[in-house]
Amino acid sequence: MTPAERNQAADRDRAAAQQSADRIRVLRQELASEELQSVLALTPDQRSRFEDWSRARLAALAQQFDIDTTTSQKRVSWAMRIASTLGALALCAAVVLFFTRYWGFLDTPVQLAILILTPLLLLAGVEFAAQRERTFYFTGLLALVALASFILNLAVVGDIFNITSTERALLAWGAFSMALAYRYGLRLMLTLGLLLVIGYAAAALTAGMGHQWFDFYDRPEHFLLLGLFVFTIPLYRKHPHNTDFPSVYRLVGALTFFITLFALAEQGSASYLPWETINIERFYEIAGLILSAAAIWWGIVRNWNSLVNTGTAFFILFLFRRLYHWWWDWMPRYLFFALIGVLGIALLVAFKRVRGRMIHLENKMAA
Amino acid sequence: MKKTSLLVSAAIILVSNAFALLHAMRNRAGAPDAEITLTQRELRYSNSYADDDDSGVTLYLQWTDPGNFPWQLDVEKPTVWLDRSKLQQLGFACAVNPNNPAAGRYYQRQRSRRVFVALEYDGSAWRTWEEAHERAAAEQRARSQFKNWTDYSPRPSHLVAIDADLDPVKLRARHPDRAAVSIMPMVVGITLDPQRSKQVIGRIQQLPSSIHVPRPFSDEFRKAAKAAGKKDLSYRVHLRYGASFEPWITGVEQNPRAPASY
Repeated sequence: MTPAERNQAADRDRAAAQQSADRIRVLRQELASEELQSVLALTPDQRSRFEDWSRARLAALAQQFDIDTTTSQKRVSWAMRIASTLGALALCAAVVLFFTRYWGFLDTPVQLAILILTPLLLLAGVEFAAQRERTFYFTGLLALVALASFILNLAVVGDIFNITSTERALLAWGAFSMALAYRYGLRLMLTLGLLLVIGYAAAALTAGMGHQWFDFYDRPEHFLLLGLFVFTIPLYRKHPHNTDFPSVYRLVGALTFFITLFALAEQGSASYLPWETINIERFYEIAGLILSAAAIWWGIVRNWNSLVNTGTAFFILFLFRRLYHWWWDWMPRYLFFALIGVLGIALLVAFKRVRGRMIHLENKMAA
Repeated sequence: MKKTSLLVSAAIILVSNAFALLHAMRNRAGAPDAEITLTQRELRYSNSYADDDDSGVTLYLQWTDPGNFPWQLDVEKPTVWLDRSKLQQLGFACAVNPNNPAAGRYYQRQRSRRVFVALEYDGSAWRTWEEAHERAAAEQRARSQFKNWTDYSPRPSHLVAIDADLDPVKLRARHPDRAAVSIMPMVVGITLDPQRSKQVIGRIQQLPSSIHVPRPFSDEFRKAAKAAGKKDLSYRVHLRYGASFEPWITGVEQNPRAPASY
């Protein structure tokens, strides 16, 4: 994204506005340092114009999106985010328990009316909150409760009419969650929506093959393809209004892919491959090591932090798994852990070298 | 913000509910597939579920799998109708001979399949099972290994699984008695039974076993449970199975005059 595109995005999207404010705040701090002043001396007029512009820009962004303009504000925002998520989870439990406590005393039409109206009213509540706040903490909280009440709605309607359970409910819940995510820019709702839709696709495939839909994790390979598909969505679907959504797609896709790869390396008997179990496990283990290393490399090249972190975590997991199978049985425990520690240090040195080489290359390119 | 995505969100809720209600209506419209009366043996009401946190009343369907009483194997091997040829008809691959060394892994790797199963209530299948059960118990008693067999399974359900098919219409054609045979979607798994010289057999693994009790029948259950205290309830439940083979309750008789015999 070019700086011009970034500024345009900052005028539309809260996440981009926050990134823009962070950059301005760092620039203000750097310009105030003596070291920078010794090489980049601004005239009093230039300094005053920069001060005026940066203050006005921060104030405008804060006014429009209610973003954090200082580090302390950012810390408080994180606390608010955690509090709203925990509050939403508690409210979801309250809605479900309240309904199950009293539903047996109601006639079927009343039960149905309550079940259908609750998510609709909560949806209206989400919209009401979104129009009155710019930070969307209450909006996110209510959106999660609306999703929980919609899940309760379809599950209990199924119970009332003794409907044979079907995977199609997962699609409805996923679509609802994603519709809310895109309307209000809520990353948690997007994550839940993607997981529900991934679950639906795997379950529909399983049911289509004549099996029970909720046995969809019996053959985990479906999830490899689905994880890859979700990961690649931001490559061809741009998100000009929700600039922080591509990282959610990448994280959900990469986690789905690598968790499945790890599960297959652990339990090869669940695979579609017609080989001996031990060969399947070896195959997925080697694939896991190579692909997680590739993910680290690609994440560094594309500057995708979440991919680098996911790749690193799974590279270490696959490596430790292999070492465990090689050494655990015949090696004294203290020696095993000592070797793991040495390996950790070796990895640290390797990453440091890669980092040094990158700095060298960047300096060369800058020169 | 444009209202389109808000309308889409509301539409998802309404359309999903409409689909569910239409499905329920279609199931209950027209002549029922089966109309059957079951007792407390087949539909178990557990008082422990009626705690303060859940006011709903649910009955749990119990059925008897004629081939699934392992202790009978010592004295008499019950007939298995869910055998290799039936399993092949249900879509399972049975190409490998059960005595082949690779058979264990071959059959273990096969996933369970969704099929339709016919369950007969209080019919010849039940009587055959009961006779075999009594013969086996008498033999066990004679061997002094299993003196009081009735303690093992005090109230077996008279609902016995008798046949299965991928097509419920074909299954109904084979079992036309709608007052005695109900057809339900179930999950069947394949296994290699080492106790039957490695015979390939099917196992019924799951069925939609919970049946919601609507008002006013649920009030009667709560009242009867309160009056009975720790004693077991005696009741008859009139069930209908619709076009989608999903049940609903049309009547409940608490403490019927002729209690069900075990």
